[in-house]
Amino acid sequence: MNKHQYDVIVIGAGGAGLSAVAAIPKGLKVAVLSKLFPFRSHTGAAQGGISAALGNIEEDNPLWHAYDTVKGSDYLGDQDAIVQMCNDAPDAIFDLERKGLPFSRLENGKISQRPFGGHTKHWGESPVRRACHSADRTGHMILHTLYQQALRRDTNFFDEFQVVEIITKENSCYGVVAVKLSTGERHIFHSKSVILATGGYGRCFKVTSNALSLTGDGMAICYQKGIPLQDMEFVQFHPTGLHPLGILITEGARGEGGILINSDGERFMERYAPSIKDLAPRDIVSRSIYEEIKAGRGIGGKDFVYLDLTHLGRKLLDKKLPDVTGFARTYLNIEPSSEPIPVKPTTHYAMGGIPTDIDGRVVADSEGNVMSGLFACGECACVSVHGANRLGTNSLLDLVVFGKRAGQSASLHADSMKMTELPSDSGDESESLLQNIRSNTRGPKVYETRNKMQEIMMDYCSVFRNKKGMEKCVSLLAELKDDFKKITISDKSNFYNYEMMAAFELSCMLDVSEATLHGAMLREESRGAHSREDYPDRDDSNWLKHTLCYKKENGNPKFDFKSVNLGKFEVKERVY
Amino acid sequence: MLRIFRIQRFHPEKNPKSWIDEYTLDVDENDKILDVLLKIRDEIDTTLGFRSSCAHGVCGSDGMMIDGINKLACQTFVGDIPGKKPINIAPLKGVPVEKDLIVEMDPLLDKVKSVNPWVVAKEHKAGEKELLMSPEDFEKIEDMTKCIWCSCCTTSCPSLWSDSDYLGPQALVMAARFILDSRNEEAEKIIDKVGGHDGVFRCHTIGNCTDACPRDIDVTGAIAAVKKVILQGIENNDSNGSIIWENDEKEK
Repeated sequence: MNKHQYDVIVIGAGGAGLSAVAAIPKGLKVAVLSKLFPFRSHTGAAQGGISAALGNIEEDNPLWHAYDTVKGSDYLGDQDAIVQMCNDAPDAIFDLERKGLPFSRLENGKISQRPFGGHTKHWGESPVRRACHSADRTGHMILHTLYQQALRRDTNFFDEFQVVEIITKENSCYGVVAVKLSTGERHIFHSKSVILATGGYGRCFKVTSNALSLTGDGMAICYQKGIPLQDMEFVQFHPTGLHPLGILITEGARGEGGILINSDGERFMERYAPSIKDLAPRDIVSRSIYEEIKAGRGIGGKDFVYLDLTHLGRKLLDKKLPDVTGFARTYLNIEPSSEPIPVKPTTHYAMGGIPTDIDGRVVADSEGNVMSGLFACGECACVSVHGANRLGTNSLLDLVVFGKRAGQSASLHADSMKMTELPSDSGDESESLLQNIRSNTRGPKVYETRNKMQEIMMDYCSVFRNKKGMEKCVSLLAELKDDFKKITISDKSNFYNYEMMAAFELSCMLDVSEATLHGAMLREESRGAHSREDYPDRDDSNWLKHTLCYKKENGNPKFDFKSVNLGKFEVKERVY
Repeated sequence: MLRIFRIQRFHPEKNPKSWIDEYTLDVDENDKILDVLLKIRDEIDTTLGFRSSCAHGVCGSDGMMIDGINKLACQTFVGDIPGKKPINIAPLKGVPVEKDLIVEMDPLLDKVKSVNPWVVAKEHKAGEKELLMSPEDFEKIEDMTKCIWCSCCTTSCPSLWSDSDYLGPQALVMAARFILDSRNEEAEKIIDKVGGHDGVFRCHTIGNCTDACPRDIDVTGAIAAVKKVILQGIENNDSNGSIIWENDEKEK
């Protein structure tokens, strides 16, 4: 096995990983591993904007931003982390700008801002222009700008390396094991600090805006080593996925004035969120769309509604929303300046993930004990700033702010210690998993099991959930996990073996699906993106707390709980 | 409907030469070529090598030659190749192939890196939080900033096919983007890198690159803009690439 030694290694090279890289002092030896090429990462698909209370167009205040984020999270977000993020936001934007990010501009040369769902002024009074953007390709610009700056620093990249295991012993992390895709060789990356920035797991569901690569790898390799996953029942369904493909149409389209209409031509969000209407947070809009569909007011009685941009005019669409209108033209052959766009909710974002503190340190239990040397940031982490529902634009902000903080604390950690010896059993677990996959001869194929998993998660664990459906899903998922033990691949080579990689990704997806489903079963209330038909109300006396899901070798996962950091904003009923 | 897909294969450990495999699949005209490739790899031949990720045209992983033209497989539909003729799928041309539709990225990336594709920010003026940039200055670079590094342009360029030292359209679009960025302190350094023997003046305005770009970037125009900066000086550059391109046409 090939061995490497670094002070800090970063797993994943999207916005979070590259923000961490930018924060690591030059004296430290750093390597970045990605299963893709860094500039293919899914940060690049983020569209509408990144929020900061710059007040470039109208009065704004970081505390209003924090209030909106707390309320948007349905009070499950940790308020200390949220205040930190919103206070850090303006400097994070200026930092990106100085790194070369080409933001759209106002006439006076300052960064342009636009309204976004759930972002308001004066504590919820009316929408505010807070989302800094570069047309509707803000994530692309963040990803490329950070990568360009990483090149400028001559960063050491290991592209197309799939990380399959984190090396841990007791409460410390020693590095990772990765497989080089082009050769199948296993490499040990031995390091003082490991930063996980591996993104989400939208591909566990049949309809998603997520890239094929978003399979929950970082979360699953932690879960495998006994680290709990936090708040996994909270999965965001973005209201406006292109029907039927699930490709994202940014909320910025509604920020610019687009409206949702049902089969009667009614702007139905006026009924569900009278004060901010179509700019209500995503959980509310997604549920409202399904309520309309259930009431028979989907377009043509079917399972989608229309996003109407026709009144905005071709000029505005070309200038402010060129990419998403392009998607409608390319994928549905629809001209958005003259026809409405069919949309329905699409699996979009994981609010839950690897528990961390405000400095990116992975917290391994409900007592606050950290896993020494292990850090996480971005979508794979749960700080938690998004609680039960994330506001649009806050994911990009999260990954820049907490990516930087994770990079800083991982550097301090690496600086403070000498390299310790690798545990003798390093890499044994992943070796046996991959060996089993390779040696199985009669069993289901990867795509068969994967497709079944995606279907049951979509059917029973998406926007609306109930006990009966989820019980069925639990037993079906257990069957699929059994099937996985026999999973059989026909490509036995070591040369760009995508089938082996897909099998590994499937094992990750089955694990994170398990955590999501069992968390959703356990939480007998409705909060944010988690809507139980059998428990329609929020239940603060029993459930204003985080869940921690631990893997068990056999049988269902085990749960523990952690309190929510409150105190800055009063917990109230959430109405818009 | 049944369509035939003829895919160029290459596994150097099995066969030193490439070959063609033919697959007949029941497809819809609205299926993406990427859907077809994924189906083949899932269900028929799991050894088929190709890259993919976002599946909707923003990550740039799946550039390949489809029916003779460089395209992204996730943005190309079966129905885009009309009739019943077989649909030919081959790797991008002009760079070494590693396996099937996977090409070596290093030669492409090395060229991009060689032009210093980054901003070195100018000093802030007192009282300014962001570096101010007029909407007009933003518009000068906006088109080029859309680039997703898919390499469809560079691998369609006949000048590059005949001389692999030429920097090629992808690196030159990045050069243009950073030369024309009003905030960049080190634009001159980039100008020095692309003004020489293997740089912008190797471009013969054939325009394959612009046709191939899945992001609709005026690639040839961007290269022309750099030529103009080199000939006239950066301070005299007052228009974006596409307008300069029209002027260049007139000058001919």
